[in-house]
Parts: sequence; C-alpha cells; structure tokens
Amino acid sequence: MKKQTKPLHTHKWRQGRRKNILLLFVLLCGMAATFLLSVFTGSAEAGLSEVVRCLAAGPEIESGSPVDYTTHTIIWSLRLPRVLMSLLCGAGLGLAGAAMQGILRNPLASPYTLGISSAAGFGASLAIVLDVGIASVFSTAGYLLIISNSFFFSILVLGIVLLISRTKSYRPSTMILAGISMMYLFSAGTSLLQYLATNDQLAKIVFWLMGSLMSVTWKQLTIISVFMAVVFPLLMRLSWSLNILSCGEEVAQSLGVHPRFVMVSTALLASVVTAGLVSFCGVIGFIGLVAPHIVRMMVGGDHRLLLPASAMSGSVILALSDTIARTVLTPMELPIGVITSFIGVPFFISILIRRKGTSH
Amino acid sequence: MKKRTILLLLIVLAAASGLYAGGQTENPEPASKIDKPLFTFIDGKGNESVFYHEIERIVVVNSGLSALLAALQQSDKIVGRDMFSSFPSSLRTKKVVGKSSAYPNLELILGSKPDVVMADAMFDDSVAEKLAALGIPVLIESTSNPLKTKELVTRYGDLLDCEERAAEICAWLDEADSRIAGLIETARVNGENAPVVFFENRKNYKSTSKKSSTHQYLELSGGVNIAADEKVSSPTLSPEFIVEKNPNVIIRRVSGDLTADTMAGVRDNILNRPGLSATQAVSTERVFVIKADLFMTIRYPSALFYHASWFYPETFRNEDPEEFNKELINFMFGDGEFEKTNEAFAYP
Repeated sequence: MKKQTKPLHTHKWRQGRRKNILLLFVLLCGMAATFLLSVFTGSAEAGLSEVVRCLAAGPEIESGSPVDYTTHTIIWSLRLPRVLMSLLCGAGLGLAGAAMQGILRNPLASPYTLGISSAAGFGASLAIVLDVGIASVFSTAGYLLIISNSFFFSILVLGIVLLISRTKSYRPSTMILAGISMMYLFSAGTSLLQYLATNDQLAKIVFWLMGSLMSVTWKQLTIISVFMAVVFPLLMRLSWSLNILSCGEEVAQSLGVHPRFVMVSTALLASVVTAGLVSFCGVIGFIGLVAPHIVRMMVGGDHRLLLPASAMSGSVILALSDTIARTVLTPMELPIGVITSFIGVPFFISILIRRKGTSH
Repeated sequence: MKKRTILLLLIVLAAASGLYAGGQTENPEPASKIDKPLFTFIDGKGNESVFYHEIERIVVVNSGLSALLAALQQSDKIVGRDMFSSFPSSLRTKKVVGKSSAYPNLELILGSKPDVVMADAMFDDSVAEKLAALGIPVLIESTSNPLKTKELVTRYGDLLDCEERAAEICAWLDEADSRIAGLIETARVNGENAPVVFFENRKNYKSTSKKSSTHQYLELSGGVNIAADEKVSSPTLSPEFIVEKNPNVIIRRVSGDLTADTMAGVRDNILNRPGLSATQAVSTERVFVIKADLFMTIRYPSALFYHASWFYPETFRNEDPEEFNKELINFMFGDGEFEKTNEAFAYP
C-alpha cells in the first residue's frame, strides 16, 4: 500500500500541472485570437486582405507603395496601438486585481479598492476644470496635464492609504476602509469640480471618467509596457508568498514570510501599474474585479497561476470589450466602461449568488 | 512552474514590444507637408494651424459649425459630420463620422481623408493632438456666443475663400441685431419693464450665469437673468432661490428634434412643478420652451427674437418670431429650406 501512495500523488500532481499549462496555453491562444479579431475589425472600410497588406508593409511605407496610405495610417496609427493597449491594459488590471484580492483577502477587492480611480478622476478633473496640475511648469498641453495629474493623485492616495494602514499593522480591513474613505473624499472633490465646470469641461470629465483607448499612442504603449515588464516579474516573485499569506499572517510568519513586506510591496506594485493605466486610459471598471474571479473558478487560488492567468483573461475581456465598443454602433463609439460593465455586472452578480449558496 | 510562467509571459511581452517597436517609426510625411505652407489659421481657442493647400475636404463634428459651412455655401466640401448636424437638409446625405465633438470616431474621420476637422471645445485634446500628428489640424470653436458669431463668420469666410458670402451674412446679422435692439428700445420707451427671467438650460433647475455665453442671449434680448451673478457658469438653482427672485418669465432650452406636443409636455412639467408654482411666471403662464439649435452660430438672431417677443409682448404684438426665423433660414440656407423642416422651434 505504501509503495502505491507516492506514484499516485505524483500522478495527480502531474495531471494538475498539465491542466494548468493547458489553461495558460488556451488563454494565450485566446489572446492571439482576440488580437487578430480586433485588428481586423473596425469602423473603417478596410477589407481583410487590405489589412493584411498594411500589416505586412510594416510601419513605414514608401511613396508609390501599392498600400493605401489612409488605410495604412488607420491600421498602424489608430487600430494597432489601440488593440495592443487594450491587451496590455486588460492584463495590467487583471494582474493588479488578482494581487489586490490576494493581499486584502477579499473577493470584492479590485485595483481601485485603495481609491486610485477616484483620486485619478479628481486629478484629471482638476486639470480639465482649473487647468492646474503638477506638470504646469513643464507643459501647457491639456492632455499632458491630465495624464500627470491623474498619475500624481493616484500615487498620493496610495501613500495616504499606506500611512493610515501602517498605524494598524497593515490589516486588510484597515486598508480597505482607508481606501474607501479616500474614494469618497476624492469622489466628492470630483463632484465639486463637475459643479464648477462649464458644459464643455463637464463633457470632457465624463468622457475621461468612462475610460477610452481612442487616443492611445505608441509612446504611451511603450511607457505602459515598461511598467508591466517591471511589475509583472516582481509580482510573480511574490506569488508564493501570497499563497502562504492566504493561510493567515501567523502561519505565514511561522513559515518565514514577512506579511507586512508582502502586503506593502504587492499593494505598491499593483497600484503603480493601475495608476499608469488609469492615467492614459481613464477609469475602466470591472476588469480588475472580474478577470481574477473567472480564473479562480477554473484554477483555484494558487497565485503562481492565478496572476498570469488573470492578466491573460483580463486582456482578452478588455480587447473584446473595446472591439465591441468601437464597432457595435458604428459610426458611434461607445465608452469602453459601458461595455466592460455590461460584461462585468452579470459575472459580479453570479459571484454574489455563488457566495450566498456557499454560506448556506 | 514559476519560471516557465514568467518565461511565457515575457515572450508575450517581447512579441508585443517587437510589434510596437516597429510602430515607433514615424509614418512617412503626408505629401502635403512637403509643400510650403500656404496659410495659417488661428482658431477660437487660440491654436495656430498651418495649411499647405486650399481646404477641399472638411469633417465637421458640431451642428453650429456645419450650419455655418452650409450658410457659407461650402456644404460640398463636407465629407463627414456628427450625428446632430442634420440641419439644413443638404447635410443629411453626408457621412456620419461620430456622435458629436465629445465622441468622434477616429477611424471614420481618417477614412474620410479630411484636410481639416472642425469641432467644439468638447473635442478631447489628446484626440486633437493625435489627428494633428497625422497631418490633420483640428479647429476648435465656441459656437454659442452671439457676440462672437460675426467674427467667426468672417474668419471662416477667409479660411474657405468665400469672403463675399461671409460679408453678406454679417450684414444680414447686423441688420437683424439692429431690428431686435430697436424693438427692445421701443418697448422700454413705451414703459414695458425689463422682465426678470429664470432660464432653465436643458436640465431641471440648471441655469446659466454671466460666466457662460448663454447669458448673452438673455442680456441682448432685454431680460434680467436671476442667475447672472452666480459663481459658476452653469449653476443648479434651488427652488427657494427661484421663488425668492420671483421671475416674470421662465424659459426652458431643450435639445433634440422635438415636436410641439413634446415641447408642450416640457412646459406642463414646469407649470406643475410644486417648487415653482409661487412664481409670477407660472401664475401668468409666461413659461416658454425653445430649441437649443437656435443658439448655435448664425441662427442666434432667431433665439433673440423669440426671447424678446416673450419679454415684451406688447411691443412685439405685431411681430411674428416664427416668420423671422423663416426669413433667417431661407436667407442662410436657401429659399424653401424652412418649408423642408418639420420641426417645432419654440412653444407656445
């Protein structure tokens, strides 16, 4: 009997490992399929072969090239950076959401739980209405002011939440409550600015708050990629510690994991990447909440798998949402937040129902 | 497992990086930029745009600006419009490339191959910057300031090389301004007092102060705006404040293509609103509804005429604001245009 136990255990472990690899592979294929679908779908009248020709021609075309200049510009300057940003942004929000849910040990936590979205919205509104911001010294360009302000206020609120939480040893409940308090404070500030705004400014605030990938540039994409390239491996390094932390702080400590270090580092990394994304794309809701939940239902709570899988599923959901947002009512373009919420809310409700069932 | 996962994701990131690294290279300059600059244009926001050839293709995403282009007889240059630019009727056949300035569709705009995009201040700065980088200047204009309309007409006449028509329009507007001002002056001489007005701008209790150009419409038509001195441009007034000010006239500005019945419904809502029942305007039923389109660019005299006729009913007894509006529409957009519209402009 003893001889049989070890091989059976190893077999199950191998099976589980194969299943996880398969899941990551499927998600990767999903990302590739979504990328292709999104690049080939748009409101501009460009056929499949024309898009392929434009992509094959590369970012630069010679004068006299058989590729249509306008279609080439649409694909390379508008659609391609937008699709890539949607994949990257979805990945960032999914990753940050899984990480925040991990440290706060709360299924309702998201990248915005610490008040980042409200603070970013306040910063952007401040730039739109009062034309003031931390980058005023360097540039008068309105959109740069909005980006820098939203990033600055996101980081500021993170600092405040961490300072408040420090007094209670970074207890998850304290972090959540401090985040919610900040969220209400900055939301009130944004409401006040909306009241002061002219109709034109109000329209701009509303547009920003709903999130958009319309004006994504290659430069922005590069910046976000750098954020992701730095944050992702660091969060992956913390994934095993997050697994241990989920057993409780005392257990984690007894196993040599420093709970405070793990919580603060994870919160910092997740918030920085979220702040970067929000600054460029506005507040895109529900991805950071829903993507980790979908993945958790399939693979359980192992953060070594949960983090990358959440990132991948987040990117698929956001890229699909954006494709729907820009094509479903052509020539109108729907705010992306509307589509992500339409997809996110049913999932959210199903999670709530499942939780209720479990408690019974 | 951890190493493999990291490796997998890094491959994805590297692949994406490789792809967009290609995109870092600037696209070849549009042919136009090889030429020497032909002229520069300063828009209403103060931004300077350089043009390398005459403007032949225009995307316009503001209904006031599209009406202005039609009045300047430049409709044939419009290759894309917003959803609300459906007046005059000649614009309805134009391709829609977005909902409004706030929600343009960039792919459709670029696909229309415009020389320029004309929009209002709701157009996002980053989107304008993106289009400018692709060689398409975006001109931002304020379209609902009656005091700046003639200057706008003149500037666009110069821009589109139709100065003569622009001068005709300005002369017509001058004449209309004088006629309205003269009637208001007569009313004052005849002892009609300037009425106190509550102007409700699109939403319940939302008004307009001196900080907004909409206030000019009340001032130029001889009304006293109860919200003139409010600290913000679009204040939300409390019913108590309105009752205390006791306006003689209430005007509600509405958006969209409304029928007379719908406008009547809007008016009934105000007449039956408990908070306003104590005002003189409601007790004497001097509550009026006006379409927002009349506040846009060259159509502003119609809004002024309707307002003044409501403010000074005795003096305007023999004047017909609808006839005035018809006169304006037929002058600006061609004979018979008024008859083609099946809209209610004001109620009652």
